[in-house]
Amino acid sequence: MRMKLLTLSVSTIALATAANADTMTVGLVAPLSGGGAAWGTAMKGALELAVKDINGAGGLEVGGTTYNIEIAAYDSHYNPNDAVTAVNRLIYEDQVAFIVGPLGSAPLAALVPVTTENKKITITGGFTPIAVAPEHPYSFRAVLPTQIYAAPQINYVVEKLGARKVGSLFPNDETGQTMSNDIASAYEAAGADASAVDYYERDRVDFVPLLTRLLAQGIDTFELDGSPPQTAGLLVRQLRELGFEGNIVRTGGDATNDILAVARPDASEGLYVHMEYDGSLPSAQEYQQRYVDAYGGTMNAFSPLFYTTINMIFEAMQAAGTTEDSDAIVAEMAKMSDFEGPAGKANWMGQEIWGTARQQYIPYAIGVVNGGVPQVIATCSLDKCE
Amino acid sequence: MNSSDSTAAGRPHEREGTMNRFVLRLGLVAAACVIAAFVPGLLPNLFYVHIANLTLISGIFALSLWIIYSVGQLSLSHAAFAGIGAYASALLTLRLGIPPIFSLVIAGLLTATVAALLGSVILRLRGVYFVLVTFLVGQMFTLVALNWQDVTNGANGLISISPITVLGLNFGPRPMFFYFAFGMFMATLLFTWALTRSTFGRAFNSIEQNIDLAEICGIDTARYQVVAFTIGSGIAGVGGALIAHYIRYISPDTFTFHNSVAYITMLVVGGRSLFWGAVVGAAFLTPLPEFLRDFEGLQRIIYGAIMILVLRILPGGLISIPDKLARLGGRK
Repeated sequence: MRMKLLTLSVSTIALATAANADTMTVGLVAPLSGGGAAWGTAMKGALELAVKDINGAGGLEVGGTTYNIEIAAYDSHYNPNDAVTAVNRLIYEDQVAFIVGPLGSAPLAALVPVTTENKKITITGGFTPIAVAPEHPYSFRAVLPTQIYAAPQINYVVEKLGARKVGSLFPNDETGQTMSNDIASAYEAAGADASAVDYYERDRVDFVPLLTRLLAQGIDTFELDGSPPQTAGLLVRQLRELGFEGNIVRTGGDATNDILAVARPDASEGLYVHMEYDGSLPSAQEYQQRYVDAYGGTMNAFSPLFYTTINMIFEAMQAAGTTEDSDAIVAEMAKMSDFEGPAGKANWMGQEIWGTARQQYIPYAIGVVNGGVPQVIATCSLDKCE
Repeated sequence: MNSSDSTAAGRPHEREGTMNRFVLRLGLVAAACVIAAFVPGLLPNLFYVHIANLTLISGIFALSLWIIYSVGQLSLSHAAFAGIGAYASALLTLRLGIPPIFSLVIAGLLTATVAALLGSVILRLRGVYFVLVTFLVGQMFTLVALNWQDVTNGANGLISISPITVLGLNFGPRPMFFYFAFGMFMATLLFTWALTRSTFGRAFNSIEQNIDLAEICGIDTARYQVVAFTIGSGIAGVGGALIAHYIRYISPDTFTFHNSVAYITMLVVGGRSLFWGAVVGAAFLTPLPEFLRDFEGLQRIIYGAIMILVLRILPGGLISIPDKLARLGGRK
């Protein structure tokens, strides 16, 4: 009897192990609460939709094995310490195949040694050059940093609006300082004075003292840069409440829907915004509708960008015939070009700038908020917007 | 029998009791070391080793903060001193090529020196005024770390900090770092224990109980407070340096006001009355968020609820559980 029980237990364990072998876990570490939550939840939505597509089609077939995909998602709170702990859990406890995230330069800089050491592919949104540095060969970036689009977009906006003196507030951290350098130098190069600059802590909600100081310097244009979505909304509302009637420009990651929600459409009218892709594309609108149907509310434009890179990794796994050999998967990803995604065709770029080509590039656009809706007024290449 | 005779008769008993307690404590330390030797191998995977490492470092921070608390002061700049130690050790290693094992020591001494200079001024304040000034010290550290870009690399932080190596032994991998962190934690624990039993410890305790009375009794309260602040902050500096060489990246975000509050919370939840309350608090609160991580969105709410519950039921902290149980059992 005892022997039978033992045999039964061993069989059960063996069956459970066999079942696990056909399950692949994908990790996510992103801000799911706080100021950057709009971006983090968009990344999570992208992963969930991509996984739903694959599981719905019967799983991911790689090297003769069909994998059902599961997700392990943790909140980084936009904090390097929390991000490091979360990524340790994803790698050692959940044994994920790859990681979506982190968002933010400081969390990325803190955890990239661990992911590199363990050869885990990451899809980040961090603007720091560390994200695509040669010494971190498994780190990919889905979102274009300000370094790439600041100059073409700002040239266009300065010419269009005739901006002379620009004021801006940046988050007082690595991301903010990186953006500050890119954006200020782009305005200066376009002939505008961008010396009215100040910094704020990410948990700040009352910007009236800082904005009053900037307005006293006689600015005619305000730059929202890459401030977190809800913060950008607060800035727009408080600027208008202070009587600022000049132009407001957003040269940073997508935040339009959150700005509209927080500042209300009347305060946001005429706002110039960076669009991560041409939102008028039918595939983009279809994806947005799908996202809204699934989660309600509005969609942040980071979602289709991450959705594209996630699918590139799945396809690269199939081409490489492995879910574990990251070097082989990375080699297959490098071969991909004109990858069709909801936001348009994706390619890799960055060889001349960073010495690596692990930056996803999808043509972006400039929009103007008109009647509470951003309208595309220019599409952009790496050199210019027109 | 006169009193001197009875004292003489009692001495062998006292000596025997003291010896027994010493042997018991030595046994406990030895047992802890033996158990620790197997911990990395017994834990299910490296994630748990990582959490154990963070818990040990938190234990060092909480113990060092307890030393400052033991003279009746509550510092909100503890994370700032940890940051000073971290930056000092990282910069010594990165810029001057000093081996981390030496930079740890220098970082501790440097942090202690800064604390001594600062403490001799700010420790003239008491209660809420001292707390407010230490809060400002913490904010000043963050601003300096952010804006002194040539040295600290600003918000970008310092990357690629070397792991600790001693005589060719690399303490970079998590299981190896566990042994190093455990050694540092035990050293801090034993030092704190020895401190509480020394003349200094007794003076600290009397200052904490009643500073005016201590002063009347001839205790130089100002000097002892500076000594406690210097020792506690110096140890925090070593703890910060440990983080720098373990995570191998530091930025101003690594040592914020929130970290200082977290260390105070460890003291309160663990129990402030005895030094090992700090250890219990660190051991309880450091892994707790990880157990709650699966409750996405509710993580902080549950964390807060647990804290309120602990403080409501156990105002003396977790170390008061045995007393509480004894009282419930009607034995007290």
